[in-house]
Amino acid sequence: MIATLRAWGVVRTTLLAVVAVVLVETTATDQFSVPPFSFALNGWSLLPPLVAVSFAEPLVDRSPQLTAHATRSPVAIGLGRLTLSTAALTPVAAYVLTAPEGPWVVPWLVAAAAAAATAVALARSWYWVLLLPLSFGWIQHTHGSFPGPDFAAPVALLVPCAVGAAALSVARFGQDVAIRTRLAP
Amino acid sequence: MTRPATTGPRTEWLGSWRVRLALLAALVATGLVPVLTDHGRWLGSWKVALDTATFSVTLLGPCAAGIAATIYVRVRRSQVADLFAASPRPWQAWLAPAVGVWLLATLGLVLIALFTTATAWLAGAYAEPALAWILLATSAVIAAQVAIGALIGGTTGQYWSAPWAAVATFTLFILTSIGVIPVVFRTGGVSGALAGETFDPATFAFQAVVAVGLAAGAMALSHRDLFALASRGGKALTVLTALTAVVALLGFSHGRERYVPASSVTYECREGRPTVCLPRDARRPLGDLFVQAQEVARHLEAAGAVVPARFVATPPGVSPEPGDGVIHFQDDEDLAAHVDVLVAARSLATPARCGAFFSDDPRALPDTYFPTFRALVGWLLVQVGEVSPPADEEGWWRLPVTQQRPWVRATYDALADCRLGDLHPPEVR
Repeated sequence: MIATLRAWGVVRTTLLAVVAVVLVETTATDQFSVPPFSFALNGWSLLPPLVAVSFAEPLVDRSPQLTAHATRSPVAIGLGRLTLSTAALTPVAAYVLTAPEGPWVVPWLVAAAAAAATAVALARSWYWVLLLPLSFGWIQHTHGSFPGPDFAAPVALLVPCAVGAAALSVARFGQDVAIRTRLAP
Repeated sequence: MTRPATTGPRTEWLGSWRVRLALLAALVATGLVPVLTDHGRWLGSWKVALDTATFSVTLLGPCAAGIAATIYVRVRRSQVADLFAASPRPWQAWLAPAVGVWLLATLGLVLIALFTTATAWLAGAYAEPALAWILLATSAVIAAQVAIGALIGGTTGQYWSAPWAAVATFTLFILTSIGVIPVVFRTGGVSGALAGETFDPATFAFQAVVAVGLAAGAMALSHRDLFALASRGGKALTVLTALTAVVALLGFSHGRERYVPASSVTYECREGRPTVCLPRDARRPLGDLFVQAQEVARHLEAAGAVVPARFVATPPGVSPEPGDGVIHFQDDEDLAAHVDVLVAARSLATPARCGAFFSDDPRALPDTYFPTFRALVGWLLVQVGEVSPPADEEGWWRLPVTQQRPWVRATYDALADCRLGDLHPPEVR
């Protein structure tokens, strides 16, 4: 079990979750200027991109040979990986909720996770090529005013998106494993 | 039939033509994000368009670094590097994938530069294709970024390192931007219009030398065993470029600026009453400003004011000719196709560039200057129908325009002669 979790990247993911919490603790409310952005940023605006990367990492099958020999169904493995990603995100979200700005931030962490799951489903290990411009665009869009009333997330839209992204992620994982198994000699 | 490995660098690691095209598309799409989120301000200047194209390397470079990292992880894991050691040119074989990624990324940069500069030119910007040499230095920066990706991928041998190669390379750009490390990874993102300015060849030469040295050093470190098998000339060249970079970093990194004032400024004018002149390299709003200036000037002349024959927008640090009025833009107004009539009113209300405007002593500018200037600009905006007269207690704004004109004339004469002590806001006498 521990070996499987390590193969799925539990160490990296845990480390990233810790980094996310440290980022919130040290820079969330600090205003700092980072060219080329013409407005001051804060740690909050960097959190969704970081969460996206940490959420995406366990969803990528870095050990396809191991997966091919698994006795469980590909869907179960896909769900297991999704659970690991969600488990890493949950303490971060819970920590964020302890801050006054938390309720503005958490929906965007869920949106970042949904975007990450979709990026992995679309581009597999190249997910970061999609997340890189998306993160840049997000930081541009925040104008240094995130979180706040301007960033009220449409929860009615967010929940179906998150569920859809999760379903897409598991379905894509299962499909990839099935194709590899068929192609295997 | 595939070529034998002995014929030179091989780029098969990049994949088939379809994969290469997909990589190029990903690089261009990523590089276009900083370009297209700039609200199109680069349409107003060819130089800004070129600078914005090089700024695409902010994201395109990290993306190329991530791609290089992925490829070198694949090379490392396939243990082909051991086979390279047995080939006649082992070091070239190891370098080939990095060279391939660098060529793809540079092609992406050139395509983005063609897009931005051609679009700006079509939008009316004055073309200065001779300045395209800055792309050479920028492609050297891409080489350094790709080599850093190859170093991370080649040494870790882990696929998960690819996004972190991208993040690490992006972080280098941030560190350059906030001045922690020298200008090496800064590739554009100017905030002004670059009117009357140009790119500093010395800074770009410094950037290119350091970037090439970094690239050579990072590649040498990415597989030291294969580097040891490089030809004597190859090793000497690598060490030389790396040492040159160190010398440049130690000796020439201080006070480097990307942009410097141009040796001369050329203006483009439209004749009228008044004539309006803008720097040729930031001429986009000329037609719109000219039309609005004629309308505003008409009301000043009707009031009996002597309007200067010519209004000129001079770049920072350049003084207008004596007798010229001053056009002043704020923010990115000089890059826009259309300007607010406020720009024309503000400019025509500045018939002379007085020394007090630039004095270090705040007492040089009397307290009455700003309220008087605002009232004159407000009066002009009321005359052109842009705003309604403000509600004032004393009723000056409710006077017939013929009774307002003496104040306008006296104020304008005082501004033109820089008799700022004579200025006073309008009042009912």
